[in-house]
Amino acid sequence: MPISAIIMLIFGCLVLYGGLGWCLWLAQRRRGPRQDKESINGVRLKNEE
Amino acid sequence: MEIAEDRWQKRSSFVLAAIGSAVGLGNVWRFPYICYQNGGGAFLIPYFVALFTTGIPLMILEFGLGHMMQGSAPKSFCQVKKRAEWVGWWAILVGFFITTYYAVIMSWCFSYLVHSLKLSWGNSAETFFKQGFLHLSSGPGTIGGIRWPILLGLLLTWVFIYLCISKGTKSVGKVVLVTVPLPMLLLAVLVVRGLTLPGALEGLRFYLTPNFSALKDPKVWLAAYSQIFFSLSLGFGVLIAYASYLPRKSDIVNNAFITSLANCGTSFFAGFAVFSTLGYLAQATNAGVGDVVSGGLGLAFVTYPTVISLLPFAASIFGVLFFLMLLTLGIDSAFSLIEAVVAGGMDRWGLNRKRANLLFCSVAFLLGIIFTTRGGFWWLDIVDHFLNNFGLVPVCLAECLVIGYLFGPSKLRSYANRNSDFSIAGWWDILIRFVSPLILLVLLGNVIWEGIRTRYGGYPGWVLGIGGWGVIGLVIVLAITFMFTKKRR
Repeated sequence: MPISAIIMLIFGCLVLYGGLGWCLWLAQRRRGPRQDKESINGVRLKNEE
Repeated sequence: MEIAEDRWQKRSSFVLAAIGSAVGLGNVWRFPYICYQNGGGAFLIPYFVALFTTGIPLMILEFGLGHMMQGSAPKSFCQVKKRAEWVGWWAILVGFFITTYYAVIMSWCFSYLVHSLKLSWGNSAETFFKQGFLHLSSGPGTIGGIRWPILLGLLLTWVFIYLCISKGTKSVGKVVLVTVPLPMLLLAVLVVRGLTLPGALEGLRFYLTPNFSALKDPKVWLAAYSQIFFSLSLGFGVLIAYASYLPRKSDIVNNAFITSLANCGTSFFAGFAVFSTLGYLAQATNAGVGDVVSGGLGLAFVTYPTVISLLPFAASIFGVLFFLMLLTLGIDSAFSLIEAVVAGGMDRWGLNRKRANLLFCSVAFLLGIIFTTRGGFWWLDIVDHFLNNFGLVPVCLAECLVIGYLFGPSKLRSYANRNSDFSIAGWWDILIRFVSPLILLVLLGNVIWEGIRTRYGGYPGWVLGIGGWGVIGLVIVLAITFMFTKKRR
């Protein structure tokens, strides 16, 4: 196969599967414990009651 | 309200259902052929530009609108502007009529699944398909009798579709756990089989070698945009209905990116299965790859069966795997189109789910009988051409105009950003207001010009009048009629 075909193959894979992997990683990260003002690593700092 | 009670249990159910709806038969038999015809690997450039400038933005629009309005396409557009309700009806009616013949193609796949066991097509897959299987008449003017095996397959298809949507998101959420990963797995098996055949690399060379000079041709860019519009399930109201079943705090933007990229990734991957086997076919028949390449129905029912017959071992098994892949690819696209209509019927007339499912599946089955006749193939070709070109493109255009100018894209954007994994900026407004409508106008102008300049398929005028313009006219009349029918209390 010519080198240009291999470059297009890598380009296609990078955009499509790389992009998909990145989006799935973001979705997965969101499911994990969130670190915000009220919690660190998902452990709440303040008692809401 | 029934729609509000029907919710996706998990985010993954929604994403899989949306991917299942977008990924269909066209991913296998259309994309690789279009890619080859329009510059090979170079086609990826306009394809990605089309994906990021109109495909994903329109998907965000549909997801955001459905989620914000919590209703089917007609209800959602009605809430945007009362007079825009027809856009929603048009969308779901186009999808409904497409399902009537899409189910017939799936019925062919059912039959071919059985024929694969004995490789019934022998040495001439084309003769078998046209004469042995379809008993094809001389033209659309000769309807001929019903082909009972196809009708039986059609009935079976509709029973499956009915069962898949029987309990709304609950049943769909379970079905897509099988119907989305299974065809991907089967596709992977076919890719591995294809790549291990002699001549496979020659086929891939045709698929991927870029011809960058093709990018100067506007037709290549039009082909890229058409491919994106037709393959992402946009403009059918499906994505609007599916998004309306999402819980209140749900991601919109990232889900649209995941769905679009998974769909396009499947198309790209399918190209490896198609072109590796075409390379083998070319070598086995001492022909060039360019001579054996085909797309659409010809690829699925003539070229691929020919290759299957030539396989050195386990030919029947690969035949079964191929048609099982087509069936599982098609089923979730088919039931999603019906689901959009069911959601519309439930919203408008207050039908319960069971009754709506039964009503719309039965009507679609009855309408599909015309395509099971000996002349059905011709009518399928005409209806498909007109609905895709003159039905779908205006819907997408109207969606952009309604949101871009009547509703305000920034309102929908800030809503979509609220619970999304990442946000979209003001560029989205520009794409929805200017870029997408402009491209859709060019696409529509092009198909109208082609329609005037040439008579599609060389069919007689009266045939195009009934099967083409007649069906489009029917969609318009029904959309307007439904808009003014009495709403449920």
